[in-house]
Amino acid sequence: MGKTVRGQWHREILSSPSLSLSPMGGWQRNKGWSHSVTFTRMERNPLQRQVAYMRRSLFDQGYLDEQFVQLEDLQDDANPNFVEEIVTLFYTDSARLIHNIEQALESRPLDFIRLDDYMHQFKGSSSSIGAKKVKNECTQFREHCSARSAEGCVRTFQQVKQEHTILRRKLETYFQLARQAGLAN
Amino acid sequence: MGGETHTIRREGEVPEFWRKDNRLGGTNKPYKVNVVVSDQFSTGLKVLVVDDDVTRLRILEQMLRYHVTTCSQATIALNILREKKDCFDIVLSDARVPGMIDYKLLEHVGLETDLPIIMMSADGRTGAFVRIEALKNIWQYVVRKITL
Repeated sequence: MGKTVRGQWHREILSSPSLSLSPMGGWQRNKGWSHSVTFTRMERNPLQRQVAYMRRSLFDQGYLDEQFVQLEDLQDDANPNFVEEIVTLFYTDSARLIHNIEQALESRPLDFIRLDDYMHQFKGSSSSIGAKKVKNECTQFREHCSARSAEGCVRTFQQVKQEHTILRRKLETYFQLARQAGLAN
Repeated sequence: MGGETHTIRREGEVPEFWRKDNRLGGTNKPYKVNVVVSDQFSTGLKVLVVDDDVTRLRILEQMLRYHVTTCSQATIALNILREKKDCFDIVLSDARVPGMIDYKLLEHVGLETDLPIIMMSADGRTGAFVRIEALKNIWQYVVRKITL
Protein backbone atom coordinates (compact mmCIF):
# COMPACT_ATOMS: atom_id res chain seq x y z
CA MET A 1 0.00 0.00 0.00
CA GLY A 2 1.43 3.33 -0.95
CA LYS A 3 0.83 6.77 0.33
CA THR A 4 -2.63 8.11 0.03
CA VAL A 5 -3.63 11.68 -0.37
CA ARG A 6 -6.57 12.79 1.64
CA GLY A 7 -9.78 12.67 -0.32
CA GLN A 8 -8.31 10.68 -3.17
CA TRP A 9 -8.44 7.09 -4.14
CA HIS A 10 -5.59 4.70 -3.86
CA ARG A 11 -5.93 1.41 -5.60
CA GLU A 12 -4.56 -1.69 -3.96
CA ILE A 13 -5.00 -3.87 -6.96
CA LEU A 14 -4.31 -2.50 -10.39
CA SER A 15 -7.25 -2.83 -12.62
CA SER A 16 -9.31 -0.84 -15.06
CA PRO A 17 -10.15 2.52 -13.52
CA SER A 18 -13.80 2.13 -14.18
CA LEU A 19 -15.13 1.75 -10.68
CA SER A 20 -15.58 4.66 -8.39
CA LEU A 21 -17.34 5.32 -5.16
CA SER A 22 -20.63 7.01 -5.79
CA PRO A 23 -21.90 9.75 -3.51
CA MET A 24 -24.33 7.29 -2.06
CA GLY A 25 -21.50 5.22 -0.71
CA GLY A 26 -21.99 2.35 -3.09
CA TRP A 27 -20.14 1.59 -6.26
CA GLN A 28 -21.02 2.88 -9.64
CA ARG A 29 -19.93 1.78 -13.01
CA ASN A 30 -18.20 4.15 -15.31
CA LYS A 31 -17.67 3.58 -18.96
CA GLY A 32 -15.99 0.39 -19.83
CA TRP A 33 -15.77 -2.92 -18.18
CA SER A 34 -14.74 -3.07 -14.60
CA HIS A 35 -12.98 -5.74 -12.64
CA SER A 36 -13.61 -6.23 -9.00
CA VAL A 37 -11.03 -4.15 -7.31
CA THR A 38 -10.18 -3.31 -3.79
CA PHE A 39 -9.98 0.34 -2.99
CA THR A 40 -8.69 1.97 0.08
CA ARG A 41 -9.63 5.52 0.49
CA MET A 42 -8.94 8.38 2.81
CA GLU A 43 -12.44 9.69 3.11
CA ARG A 44 -12.98 13.22 4.22
CA ASN A 45 -16.29 12.13 5.59
CA PRO A 46 -15.98 9.83 8.62
CA LEU A 47 -19.36 8.34 7.73
CA GLN A 48 -18.02 7.23 4.39
CA ARG A 49 -15.10 5.65 6.11
CA GLN A 50 -17.56 3.80 8.29
CA VAL A 51 -19.52 2.64 5.25
CA ALA A 52 -16.40 1.36 3.56
CA TYR A 53 -15.36 -0.42 6.70
CA MET A 54 -18.74 -2.02 7.11
CA ARG A 55 -18.75 -3.12 3.52
CA ARG A 56 -15.29 -4.62 3.93
CA SER A 57 -16.41 -6.52 7.04
CA LEU A 58 -19.37 -8.04 5.26
CA PHE A 59 -16.95 -9.61 2.81
CA ASP A 60 -14.28 -10.48 5.32
CA GLN A 61 -16.73 -12.19 7.63
CA GLY A 62 -18.11 -14.24 4.78
CA TYR A 63 -21.59 -12.77 4.60
CA LEU A 64 -21.16 -11.63 1.02
CA ASP A 65 -19.23 -12.94 -1.94
CA GLU A 66 -18.14 -11.85 -5.39
CA GLN A 67 -21.67 -11.83 -6.75
CA PHE A 68 -22.45 -8.80 -4.58
CA VAL A 69 -19.61 -6.96 -6.29
CA GLN A 70 -21.17 -7.87 -9.63
CA LEU A 71 -24.35 -6.16 -8.45
CA GLU A 72 -22.43 -3.07 -7.39
CA ASP A 73 -20.86 -3.14 -10.80
CA LEU A 74 -24.26 -2.86 -12.43
CA GLN A 75 -25.17 0.23 -10.46
CA ASP A 76 -24.93 3.40 -12.50
CA ASP A 77 -26.41 6.85 -12.87
CA ALA A 78 -29.58 5.50 -14.40
CA ASN A 79 -29.97 3.00 -11.56
CA PRO A 80 -28.24 4.58 -8.58
CA ASN A 81 -29.87 2.30 -6.03
CA PHE A 82 -29.68 -0.89 -7.99
CA VAL A 83 -28.02 -2.99 -5.29
CA GLU A 84 -30.54 -2.00 -2.67
CA GLU A 85 -33.33 -2.60 -5.16
CA ILE A 86 -32.13 -6.11 -5.85
CA VAL A 87 -31.65 -6.93 -2.17
CA THR A 88 -35.15 -5.65 -1.38
CA LEU A 89 -36.56 -7.67 -4.26
CA PHE A 90 -34.81 -10.76 -3.01
CA TYR A 91 -36.10 -10.43 0.54
CA THR A 92 -39.64 -9.83 -0.64
CA ASP A 93 -39.56 -12.82 -2.95
CA SER A 94 -37.68 -15.17 -0.66
CA ALA A 95 -40.38 -14.83 1.99
CA ARG A 96 -42.58 -16.79 -0.37
CA LEU A 97 -40.01 -19.54 -0.84
CA ILE A 98 -39.40 -19.77 2.90
CA HIS A 99 -43.10 -20.13 3.46
CA ASN A 100 -43.27 -22.94 0.90
CA ILE A 101 -40.46 -24.79 2.60
CA GLU A 102 -42.01 -24.31 6.02
CA GLN A 103 -45.26 -25.77 4.80
CA ALA A 104 -43.51 -28.66 3.12
CA LEU A 105 -41.64 -29.39 6.36
CA GLU A 106 -44.95 -29.83 8.13
CA SER A 107 -46.26 -32.60 5.94
CA ARG A 108 -45.71 -36.19 6.96
CA PRO A 109 -44.03 -38.03 5.45
CA LEU A 110 -41.60 -35.42 4.19
CA ASP A 111 -41.45 -34.99 0.45
CA PHE A 112 -37.67 -34.68 0.10
CA ILE A 113 -37.82 -34.15 -3.63
CA ARG A 114 -40.12 -31.20 -3.28
CA LEU A 115 -38.06 -29.81 -0.40
CA ASP A 116 -34.92 -30.11 -2.46
CA ASP A 117 -36.60 -28.40 -5.36
CA TYR A 118 -37.73 -25.46 -3.23
CA MET A 119 -34.31 -25.17 -1.70
CA HIS A 120 -32.68 -25.28 -5.12
CA GLN A 121 -34.75 -22.25 -6.06
CA PHE A 122 -34.01 -20.50 -2.80
CA LYS A 123 -30.31 -21.21 -3.08
CA GLY A 124 -30.21 -19.88 -6.62
CA SER A 125 -31.97 -16.74 -5.57
CA SER A 126 -29.68 -16.20 -2.58
CA SER A 127 -26.65 -16.75 -4.74
CA SER A 128 -27.73 -14.03 -7.10
CA ILE A 129 -27.32 -11.40 -4.39
CA GLY A 130 -24.08 -12.86 -3.14
CA ALA A 131 -25.49 -14.19 0.13
CA LYS A 132 -22.60 -16.49 0.92
CA LYS A 133 -23.52 -17.83 4.36
CA VAL A 134 -27.14 -18.30 3.35
CA LYS A 135 -26.01 -20.21 0.30
CA ASN A 136 -23.79 -22.49 2.37
CA GLU A 137 -26.64 -23.32 4.74
CA CYS A 138 -28.80 -24.11 1.72
CA THR A 139 -26.20 -26.59 0.56
CA GLN A 140 -26.29 -28.26 3.97
CA PHE A 141 -30.04 -28.50 3.75
CA ARG A 142 -29.90 -30.14 0.35
CA GLU A 143 -27.44 -32.69 1.64
CA HIS A 144 -29.92 -33.66 4.31
CA CYS A 145 -32.58 -33.96 1.62
CA SER A 146 -30.35 -36.35 -0.30
CA ALA A 147 -29.76 -38.28 2.90
CA ARG A 148 -33.51 -38.20 3.55
CA SER A 149 -32.91 -36.94 7.05
CA ALA A 150 -35.99 -35.21 8.42
CA GLU A 151 -34.20 -34.10 11.56
CA GLY A 152 -31.33 -32.75 9.51
CA CYS A 153 -33.65 -30.80 7.24
CA VAL A 154 -35.60 -29.26 10.08
CA ARG A 155 -32.43 -28.29 11.90
CA THR A 156 -30.57 -26.83 8.95
CA PHE A 157 -33.62 -24.93 7.81
CA GLN A 158 -33.55 -23.04 11.10
CA GLN A 159 -29.96 -22.12 10.29
CA VAL A 160 -30.94 -21.04 6.78
CA LYS A 161 -33.59 -18.74 8.18
CA GLN A 162 -31.23 -17.40 10.78
CA GLU A 163 -28.53 -16.47 8.29
CA HIS A 164 -31.19 -15.04 5.99
CA THR A 165 -32.40 -12.73 8.77
CA ILE A 166 -28.94 -11.78 9.99
CA LEU A 167 -27.93 -10.73 6.50
CA ARG A 168 -31.06 -8.70 5.99
CA ARG A 169 -30.41 -6.70 9.14
CA LYS A 170 -26.78 -6.13 8.24
CA LEU A 171 -27.63 -5.00 4.74
CA GLU A 172 -30.42 -2.72 5.97
CA THR A 173 -27.93 -1.06 8.30
CA TYR A 174 -25.38 -0.84 5.52
CA PHE A 175 -27.72 0.80 3.03
CA GLN A 176 -29.00 3.21 5.66
CA LEU A 177 -25.47 4.20 6.58
CA ALA A 178 -24.54 4.58 2.93
CA ARG A 179 -27.47 6.90 2.38
CA GLN A 180 -26.51 9.03 5.36
CA ALA A 181 -22.92 9.14 4.21
CA GLY A 182 -24.02 10.20 0.75
CA LEU A 183 -26.24 12.95 2.05
CA ALA A 184 -23.53 14.22 4.33
CA ASN A 185 -21.15 14.61 1.40
CA MET B 1 -29.78 -35.65 -33.49
CA GLY B 2 -30.20 -32.11 -32.37
CA GLY B 3 -28.37 -29.90 -30.00
CA GLU B 4 -25.44 -28.78 -32.03
CA THR B 5 -23.67 -26.04 -30.18
CA HIS B 6 -22.15 -23.71 -32.66
CA THR B 7 -21.55 -20.16 -31.81
CA ILE B 8 -18.61 -18.80 -33.69
CA ARG B 9 -17.11 -15.90 -31.88
CA ARG B 10 -14.23 -13.98 -33.28
CA GLU B 11 -12.65 -11.14 -31.44
CA GLY B 12 -14.32 -7.85 -32.30
CA GLU B 13 -16.77 -9.37 -34.74
CA VAL B 14 -20.43 -10.16 -34.55
CA PRO B 15 -20.90 -13.74 -33.39
CA GLU B 16 -22.39 -16.13 -35.88
CA PHE B 17 -25.10 -18.54 -34.98
CA TRP B 18 -25.18 -21.79 -36.81
CA ARG B 19 -27.85 -24.40 -36.48
CA LYS B 20 -28.36 -27.82 -37.95
CA ASP B 21 -31.49 -28.32 -39.91
CA ASN B 22 -32.64 -31.48 -38.19
CA ARG B 23 -36.31 -30.95 -38.59
CA LEU B 24 -38.32 -33.79 -39.96
CA GLY B 25 -37.59 -33.88 -43.65
CA GLY B 26 -34.82 -31.35 -43.23
CA THR B 27 -31.48 -31.45 -44.89
CA ASN B 28 -29.52 -32.01 -41.66
CA LYS B 29 -26.99 -29.54 -42.96
CA PRO B 30 -25.76 -26.65 -40.85
CA TYR B 31 -27.15 -23.28 -41.80
CA LYS B 32 -26.52 -19.84 -40.54
CA VAL B 33 -29.28 -18.28 -38.53
CA ASN B 34 -29.85 -14.71 -39.54
CA VAL B 35 -29.87 -12.89 -36.24
CA VAL B 36 -30.47 -9.20 -36.63
CA VAL B 37 -27.87 -7.59 -34.44
CA SER B 38 -26.01 -4.33 -34.44
CA ASP B 39 -22.31 -4.04 -35.13
CA GLN B 40 -21.00 -4.47 -31.66
CA PHE B 41 -23.70 -6.88 -30.53
CA SER B 42 -24.33 -4.40 -27.80
CA THR B 43 -27.40 -2.44 -28.78
CA GLY B 44 -30.55 -3.10 -30.65
CA LEU B 45 -30.82 -6.75 -29.80
CA LYS B 46 -34.28 -7.64 -28.66
CA VAL B 47 -34.15 -10.28 -25.99
CA LEU B 48 -36.89 -12.21 -24.34
CA VAL B 49 -35.67 -13.37 -20.96
CA VAL B 50 -37.58 -16.13 -19.25
CA ASP B 51 -36.84 -16.93 -15.62
CA ASP B 52 -39.08 -17.71 -12.69
CA ASP B 53 -36.81 -15.99 -10.19
CA VAL B 54 -37.73 -12.31 -10.10
CA THR B 55 -34.43 -11.27 -8.52
CA ARG B 56 -32.41 -12.98 -11.21
CA LEU B 57 -34.73 -11.61 -13.88
CA ARG B 58 -34.11 -8.04 -12.74
CA ILE B 59 -30.37 -8.63 -12.62
CA LEU B 60 -30.39 -10.06 -16.13
CA GLU B 61 -32.42 -7.14 -17.35
CA GLN B 62 -29.85 -4.74 -15.98
CA MET B 63 -26.93 -6.81 -17.24
CA LEU B 64 -28.09 -7.31 -20.76
CA ARG B 65 -28.73 -3.70 -21.64
CA TYR B 66 -30.46 -4.64 -24.85
CA HIS B 67 -34.13 -4.20 -25.51
CA VAL B 68 -35.17 -6.66 -22.86
CA THR B 69 -38.56 -8.14 -22.21
CA THR B 70 -38.76 -10.20 -19.07
CA CYS B 71 -41.09 -13.02 -18.32
CA SER B 72 -41.42 -15.44 -15.44
CA GLN B 73 -43.69 -18.06 -16.94
CA ALA B 74 -42.97 -20.27 -19.90
CA THR B 75 -46.58 -20.29 -21.08
CA ILE B 76 -46.66 -16.49 -21.08
CA ALA B 77 -43.34 -16.44 -22.90
CA LEU B 78 -44.74 -18.68 -25.59
CA ASN B 79 -47.82 -16.50 -25.97
CA ILE B 80 -45.64 -13.43 -26.29
CA LEU B 81 -43.57 -15.14 -28.94
CA ARG B 82 -46.61 -16.29 -30.86
CA GLU B 83 -48.15 -12.87 -30.86
CA LYS B 84 -45.00 -10.88 -31.45
CA LYS B 85 -42.78 -13.27 -33.31
CA ASP B 86 -40.83 -10.62 -35.15
CA CYS B 87 -40.23 -8.50 -32.12
CA PHE B 88 -37.46 -10.65 -30.73
CA ASP B 89 -34.06 -11.66 -31.90
CA ILE B 90 -33.17 -14.10 -29.21
CA VAL B 91 -34.60 -15.94 -26.23
CA LEU B 92 -32.70 -16.42 -23.01
CA SER B 93 -34.29 -18.88 -20.67
CA ASP B 94 -33.74 -20.52 -17.34
CA ALA B 95 -33.88 -24.26 -17.82
CA ARG B 96 -36.40 -24.80 -15.09
CA VAL B 97 -39.28 -22.49 -15.74
CA PRO B 98 -42.63 -23.40 -14.21
CA GLY B 99 -45.55 -24.01 -16.52
CA MET B 100 -43.56 -26.29 -18.72
CA ILE B 101 -42.11 -29.67 -17.98
CA ASP B 102 -38.37 -29.52 -18.20
CA TYR B 103 -37.24 -28.26 -21.56
CA LYS B 104 -40.49 -28.17 -23.45
CA LEU B 105 -40.32 -24.41 -23.86
CA LEU B 106 -37.23 -25.02 -25.88
CA GLU B 107 -38.95 -27.51 -28.10
CA HIS B 108 -41.88 -25.24 -28.74
CA VAL B 109 -39.71 -22.26 -29.50
CA GLY B 110 -37.54 -24.37 -31.76
CA LEU B 111 -40.46 -25.83 -33.64
CA GLU B 112 -42.57 -22.73 -33.93
CA THR B 113 -40.01 -20.02 -34.49
CA ASP B 114 -36.61 -19.54 -35.90
CA LEU B 115 -35.31 -17.78 -32.83
CA PRO B 116 -32.03 -18.65 -31.27
CA ILE B 117 -32.49 -19.74 -27.71
CA ILE B 118 -29.92 -19.85 -24.99
CA MET B 119 -30.60 -21.96 -21.94
CA MET B 120 -29.18 -21.10 -18.57
CA SER B 121 -28.93 -23.66 -15.88
CA ALA B 122 -27.21 -24.34 -12.63
CA ASP B 123 -27.76 -28.00 -13.30
CA GLY B 124 -24.38 -29.25 -14.38
CA ARG B 125 -25.02 -32.91 -13.90
CA THR B 126 -24.06 -35.09 -16.84
CA GLY B 127 -27.51 -36.59 -17.11
CA ALA B 128 -28.99 -33.19 -17.73
CA PHE B 129 -26.50 -32.47 -20.47
CA VAL B 130 -27.36 -35.63 -22.30
CA ARG B 131 -31.03 -34.86 -22.13
CA ILE B 132 -30.46 -31.38 -23.47
CA GLU B 133 -28.36 -32.63 -26.33
CA ALA B 134 -31.09 -34.96 -27.38
CA LEU B 135 -33.60 -32.21 -27.93
CA LYS B 136 -34.09 -30.64 -31.29
CA ASN B 137 -33.07 -27.13 -32.11
CA ILE B 138 -31.10 -26.46 -29.02
CA TRP B 139 -27.82 -25.07 -29.95
CA GLN B 140 -26.45 -23.47 -26.97
CA TYR B 141 -26.53 -24.80 -23.47
CA VAL B 142 -25.01 -22.44 -21.01
CA VAL B 143 -24.20 -23.81 -17.66
CA ARG B 144 -24.54 -20.99 -15.29
CA LYS B 145 -22.61 -21.10 -12.12
CA ILE B 146 -24.85 -21.34 -9.13
CA THR B 147 -24.00 -17.75 -8.34
CA LEU B 148 -26.26 -16.47 -11.06
